[in-house]
Formats: sequence, structure tokens, C-alpha cells
Amino acid sequence: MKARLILGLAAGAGLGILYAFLLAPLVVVVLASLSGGEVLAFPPTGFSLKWFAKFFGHESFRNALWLSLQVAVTSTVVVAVVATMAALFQRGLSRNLAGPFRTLLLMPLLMPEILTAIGLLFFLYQIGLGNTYLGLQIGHVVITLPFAFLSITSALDQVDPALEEASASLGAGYGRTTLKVMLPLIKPGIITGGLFTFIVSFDMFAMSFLLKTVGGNTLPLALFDYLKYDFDPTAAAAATVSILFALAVVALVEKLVGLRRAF
Amino acid sequence: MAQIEIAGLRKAYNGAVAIDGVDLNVASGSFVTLLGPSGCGKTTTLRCLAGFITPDAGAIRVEGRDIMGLGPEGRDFGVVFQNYALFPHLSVFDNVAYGLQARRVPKAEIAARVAEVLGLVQLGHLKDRLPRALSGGQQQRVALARALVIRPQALLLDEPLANLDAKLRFEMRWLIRELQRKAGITALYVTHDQAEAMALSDQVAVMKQGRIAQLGSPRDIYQRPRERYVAEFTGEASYLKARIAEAVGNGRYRVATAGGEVIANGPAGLAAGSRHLLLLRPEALQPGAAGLRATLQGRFFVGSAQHCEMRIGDEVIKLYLPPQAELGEGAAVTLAVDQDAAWLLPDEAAP
Amino acid sequence: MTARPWRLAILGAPALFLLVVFFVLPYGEIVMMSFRTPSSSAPYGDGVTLANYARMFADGHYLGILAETVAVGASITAICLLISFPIALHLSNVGDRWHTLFYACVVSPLLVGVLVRNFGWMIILSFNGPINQILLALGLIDRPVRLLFTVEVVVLALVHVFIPFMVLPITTALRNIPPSLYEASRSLGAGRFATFWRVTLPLSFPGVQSGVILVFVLAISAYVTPVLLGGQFVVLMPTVIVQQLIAAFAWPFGAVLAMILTLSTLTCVLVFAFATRGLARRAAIGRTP
Ligand SMILES: Nc1ncnc2c1ncn2[C@@H]1O[C@H](COP(=O)(O)OP(=O)(O)OP(=O)(O)O)[C@@H](O)[C@H]1O
Ligand SMILES: [Mg+2]
Repeated sequence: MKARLILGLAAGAGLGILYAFLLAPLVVVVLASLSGGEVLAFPPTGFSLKWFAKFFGHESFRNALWLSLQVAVTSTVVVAVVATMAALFQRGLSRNLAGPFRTLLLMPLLMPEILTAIGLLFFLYQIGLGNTYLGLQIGHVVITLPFAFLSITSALDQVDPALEEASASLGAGYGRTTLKVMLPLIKPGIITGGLFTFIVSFDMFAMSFLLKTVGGNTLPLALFDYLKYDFDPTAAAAATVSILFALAVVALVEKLVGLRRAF
Repeated sequence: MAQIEIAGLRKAYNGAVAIDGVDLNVASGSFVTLLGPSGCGKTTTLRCLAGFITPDAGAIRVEGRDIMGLGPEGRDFGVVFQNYALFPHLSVFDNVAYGLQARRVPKAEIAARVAEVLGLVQLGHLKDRLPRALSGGQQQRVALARALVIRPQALLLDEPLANLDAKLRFEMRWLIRELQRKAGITALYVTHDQAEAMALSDQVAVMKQGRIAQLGSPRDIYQRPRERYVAEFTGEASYLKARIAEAVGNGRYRVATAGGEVIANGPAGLAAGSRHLLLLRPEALQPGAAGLRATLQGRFFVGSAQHCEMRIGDEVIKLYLPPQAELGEGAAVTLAVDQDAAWLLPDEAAP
Repeated sequence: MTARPWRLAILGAPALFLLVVFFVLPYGEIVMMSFRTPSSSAPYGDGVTLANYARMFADGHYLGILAETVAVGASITAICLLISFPIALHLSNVGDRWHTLFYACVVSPLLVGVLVRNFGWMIILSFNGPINQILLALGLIDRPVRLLFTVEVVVLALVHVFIPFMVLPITTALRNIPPSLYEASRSLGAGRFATFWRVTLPLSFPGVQSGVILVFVLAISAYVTPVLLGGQFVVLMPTVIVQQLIAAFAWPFGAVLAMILTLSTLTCVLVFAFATRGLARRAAIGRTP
């Protein structure tokens, strides 16, 4: 009995350390951004929001944040539509076509982002889209498409085919059935997929790094540049903004669909 | 082989009481079945015994020794699961050898014992297969072999035949009974199938809402149930309101019903004039010269017999007639009652 | 019910177009590019040559970096597995009430960019960061030491980045193991440890296998972390490739390095999958009728 208690405590402590390890960098960044001191140090000295003010006052950060939001929102809208269509397409395919289609769609997730970015860099240059905003946007869409596709297809797999048959037997055509029955049922999957798309696009580094236009930094790139020369709490404020977006997404997903179903 | 004693076992899941004071004595080498409807707590009782869950109160003793402090691995029970729970990554041989390996039995002995027990369940030729390549019946036999090979103190089986088709279930019934007898092993078996319970058991414990309503031999619980619930659960039954006219022997009474007076058995010491229910099993009634006066209300043909409903006053009872019997609906019939199969129950509705 | 073929085609067209044009063709472009002649005035010349490959194999420098990259990737994967297994075990067992919290703990890092997480480590490991302060306070060192810009730190940070990718598939595999198997094992006389060793571990292998492959592929091709936390002291393949492309503007040679990295990764993955195929096949939980 006693041995079991000690074993349990040890296991608990070990797990505590592991979870602390997972969260430590995030917690440290957030705390450092609230520092009242002048240098990036931990534990922070005092409390203030001045570094956030400095972050929003910093022109290149502001532009970068704006660009990131623009790219992420565009990705979200485009990917939500394309991925939903692709998921419905896959459902309509015969089994031996659906497999290869699915594999193709998930490839960008399985291949390293940096390699995909390199290929796109070469390719976009060839077709005259090198060094353009459109090229960057395409890169983001390609990388995020599989995330949304995954969560939408998993929502779609939950839908009983009998519902489609019921709708058809009541006289609804394919279009009506899709709009009135399927889309409402897979809405949670689309929302989850959209939110992931947003956050993955917002945080994307390697792709943006290789495809960015001259002077057109996204927020992660701006932070990367900043960190090369400066190491002060403004960077922590920039990073905290990213974390807040991620937290908002986690909270939204949990509230709208439940985390466990989302992954 | 061991005698098992369960006393005052209680278990609630988050406040919802699943079993509430289960007492049961399983004699060494006997085959005892827990019988009852879904949700009455059979599985919970068995799992407490196996050590998978800890009861809130009560004691479990094996040969007089308290085993509550032991984990499942220390209790030395062979458990057979409803879904078989065969290890999918281990071959038939390794599945069966698992318990022996855990006991650090020497390799040569393991090989011999596994071969022997696989022979008993006629699976020697499949020992290298993975479970997923076996039929349901074969998996069931592996599960049985795996539980038997460790020569456990007792065999615990939770609806082991529930996933098999009717014919296989019949065969497996005999196999289980035969193996248990041969090994002389104590067995506790869970089922909600009364025919299975009767066919297999030395003793049947009928459970009702987390308690044992009655423990007795199959004959006892069928012919001499202590309450209507038990009678209902053990087979087809009809009831007539009855008033005791007088005692005519030890545990034997003359009773008055709407269809006339009959002689019936009952617990000793029932007072004359008291109200009871007369339990009539369908096979206890036959058209005869003297007995209950009834009219035929309806019947249907099932091949080996005709199932009939008879009206007696405003009550209805069931009986079986031979297939060739010709009776029109509404016909008046006199029903002779087999005294040994008519039994008096307390009338729970009476004041 | 199914749509008429042309309607269905309309649904699939945008995704197919996007992926074929902007994913499949670009990878083809890497292959093509690796055979181009270099040029001093443009990213690449017009000719076709094998010289880029010859240069790469002749120069032990690049092969050395490749070997180090694979070694670092393998150690990241191994450490990641060791840390992730207990977390997955916990996550698959934790009661419903706490589940969301712990799940969020594992998933949130996944949603925060790699850069931000690396930055967190930079703060923790910096000269006046908490680790140095703790070591000072304990009297183990008498002045702050340089912790950043070592391979070890890169490994640590990448392990942190990839833990969710390892935890999630293993958790799924663990959840698929029917609890009755544990009970069967215990009732057959195997203790907790033996049950873990003989039932839990082998049956979780499909999850372990996909986690290992995923993490290895990601680790080999990680770019940001080695640059930020390794600085000039840690030179791995992706860094070299990006240098060739962006700084040296030597696209054909960069493409060769990318090809070699891809092929080596693929080889490692295939060898691993082949070596463990028996384990994985056995452990795939068959449906019992
Ligand atoms: N893990 C659990 N959590 C909560 N309640 C439970 C749990 N297991 C069983 N119960 C409840 O306890 C009661 C007894 O369950 P038990 O499984 O013992 O019934 P049973 O007699 O085996 O039924 P069945 O014939 O359907 O298998 C039921 O009301 C059931 O809902
Ligand atoms: Mg049960």
C-alpha cells in the first residue's frame, strides 16, 4: 500500500515535470512581455504593458501583423471553401479513387514545409510569380489545405449515408441535399478546419521566409529579424500576440466543437 | 479448486448503487450461476471477485482467507470475458501460455500444458494462428483454454456465450460443463439466459436489483421460487389468486381459486385463510377429469405443441397441449394440476 | 446518393488544380533544377548537367553535415518518444473531467508557432535567464554560462516542438486497446509492469511507428530552430540548403542538397518501416467478432 502511494506520487511528479516542460516556453514568453524592467529577463521585474505599446508603435511590427492577418484570413476563406468542396468530392468518389485523392491532399502535411517552399520558390519564379504577394498566399493555401481537409472529412465521415438517402427520397436533388443537410451537419468540422487554417497560416515560418516579397515581412518573420539584433521585451510582446491568437483558437474550438473531436 | 464466500458486497458507481449486499457461498468444485436481467449487477459482482473493481463494502474469502487486499494478479482466478479479450498480437499458443509465463513456469512444462489444454478444446492444430484469424467459436475456446491452463482456484465467466450463434452456444455449453467437471474446478458463471443457467449449474443465484433474490438448485428455483420475480425469470409461468383452505400435510395445502379447489405445495406454515398466488407452470396442467374449470380463450400452433391461453374467472393462464388436440375456442375444459408443479407464492399485491 | 459526374468534377477541381500545379509541379521543379547548370547572372543556366551531384559527393563536407543531420534527427526522435509515451499514457487514462485541460496542454504548443516557442527557450537559457540564475543560486557556477548555441539546446527545443506529433498518435493507439485486455492480463497473473511490457507496449506500436516517422521527417527538415538556437555553431542540412538558395543564390546546387536530404529521409523511413513491419502488423488490433 505504502509502496504504491510512493510510486503514485513519483509518477505524478514526473508527469508534472513533463507538462511543465511543455508549457514553460509559452509561460515564460507571456510573463516576460509583461515585464516592467528594461531588459528581457526572467523572472520579470515589475509589471507593465509598455512593451505592448512599443510593439504596436513599432512600424515594421505593425505592418507585419497586418500582413499576417491579411494572409491568414485570405487563407482561411479560400481553404475553407476549397477543402469543403474537396471533402464532398472525396465522398462522392468510388473507394479506389478516394484513397489516392486523399493521399494527394494530405501530401503537403507529410512533406517537410521547407522542401515544399523550395519547390514553390523555383516554380513560382518560372511562371513569373516569384517575389509576389500572390505567390506567398498560394504557398500558405497549399500548406494549410490538408489541415482543413482532415477535420472536414472526419466530420463528413460521421454523417450517416441514410440521411442523404432520406433527403433524396423526399425529392431533394444533390445540390439541395448538400446545402440543407450536409453542410449544416459538417459545420463544426468546417469551423475547426478554418480556425486551424488561420492559426497555422498566421504562424507559418519556412514558407513565408522563402516566398516573402522584398520588405514584406509577416509577423513571425519580423520577430525573427528583430531577434537577430535585439533581445528585449518587445519581442516577447510580439510573441505573446501570437500566443493569444492560439489560445483564442483553442478556446473557440473547445467551445464550438470540443477539443477531443477536433484532433 | 476452492470454496468462495462473498459477504455483504456493495458497490456504487458515482452514487448509483449497482450491487447492494450480495451474499453468496460457492462450494468447492461446484458450478454456480448468477442469473438476472440486464443491469441487475451480475457483471459488477464478478468483477469485484476478479479484483478489477474494488467494492465499497463487504468481504470476499477464498477457503476462508480474505483476498480483498490482493490485485487481480494475486487472486488466481481464471476469467473468461464476453468479448474473449484475446491478445491480438499473440498467437493462440502465446495467448494460452501467457498466464504460465507470468507464473514463471519452466518452458518445457509450458509447452506440455498448453498442448494438453489445446487438445482438450480441440485447437491443437491452430496454435500458431493469430486470434483475428479464428472464428468466434474458436476464439471462445482459446479464451477458455487460457483460463483453464493456469489451473486457477476458480473459473469466472461473464456471459461467455453471448456472442455465439444458437447452435454453437449449445455445443459450448456442454464443453464448458465437461471441462469444469473434469478439472473439478469451482466455477462462477454469469448469464441472463435462464435455460443456459439451468443446464449448466449446480446452483443458480437469481439476482434482483443488486441483490441475490434466491439461491438454489435449478429445480428449486424453477419449482419452488420464493417470489414471483424469481418464477418469472426462470421460465413461462401463470398465476391464480388463491386462498388457503387448509393444510393437508407438511408444506401441502388445499387452496381455493376461481376455477375450484386444488392441492398445491408451498412453504411450510402458511396460515389457513391467508391469500397467496398459485404458480402454475404450463407443463403442470393437462386436460383431465377433475381440477380447474377453464375455457379456452386462444391458441397457436408451434409445431411440437399448441400454446393455449385459458380463462379462469377474470384470470388467464397458459398451458401446452399436444399438437393433435382438437379444441374449439370457447370450449370448456377441466384441467388436472400436477401437485408437485403447483407452488404457492406470497401475493405481493395483497394487503 | 451521388452527384452527376460533371458536378462532382466541379467540386474536386479547385483542390486538384491547386495541388497538382502548386505542389506536384514544384517538387518536379526541384528535380529539374538539380540538373541545371549554374549561372552567375541568373539563378540557373540553360544547360543540363550532372556536375552538381558530382560536386556534392566529391565534397566530404556536405556528406558530413548530412550524417550529422540524420544523427540529430534520430536522437530528437528517440528522446521525443521517451518523453511522449508517459504523456500519452496519462492522456489516454485521464478522467473526462480533466481531459480537456491536459489535452489543451498538449495541443496548445502545436498551435503556437515554432518561432515563438524557440524564443521562449532563448529567454529561459539566456545569460540572465532562470536556468543560469538557479545554477548561480545553487553555487554550481560562479558566473553565468553560455547555454545557447549548442546542439544540445537545438535538440531540446526541437523535442519540445515535436512532442505533440508523437503524443497524439500514441494516445490514439492506446485508446484503441480494449480495457478488457489489461484485465485479462492481470487476472492471468501478470502484474502491472508485466502487463505494460507485454500488452500495452506492443499494442501501442502502430501509434509509436507513425509518431516516430512523423517526428523524424520533421526533425530532419527543421530550419528555424537550428538557426535561432544553434546560431553559427550548429550547421545542419536545411540551413545549408537555404544558404545556398538565398545567400549564395546557387539554386541548382541547393536543389541537389534538397534532393539528397529528401532521399536520405525517405530511405531512413523505409528502412525503419520495413524493420518494424512485423511488430506493426501484429499489433494492428483486429476486430474480434
Ligand atoms: N462503469 C460503470 N459506471 C457507472 N455505472 C455502471 C458501471 N458499470 C455498471 N454500471 C451500472 O451498474 C448497474 C449494474 O451493472 P452490471 O454491469 O453489473 O449489470 P449486469 O447484470 O452485468 O447487466 P448485463 O446483463 O446487461 O451485462 C447497472 O445499472 C449499470 O448501469
Ligand atoms: Mg454484464
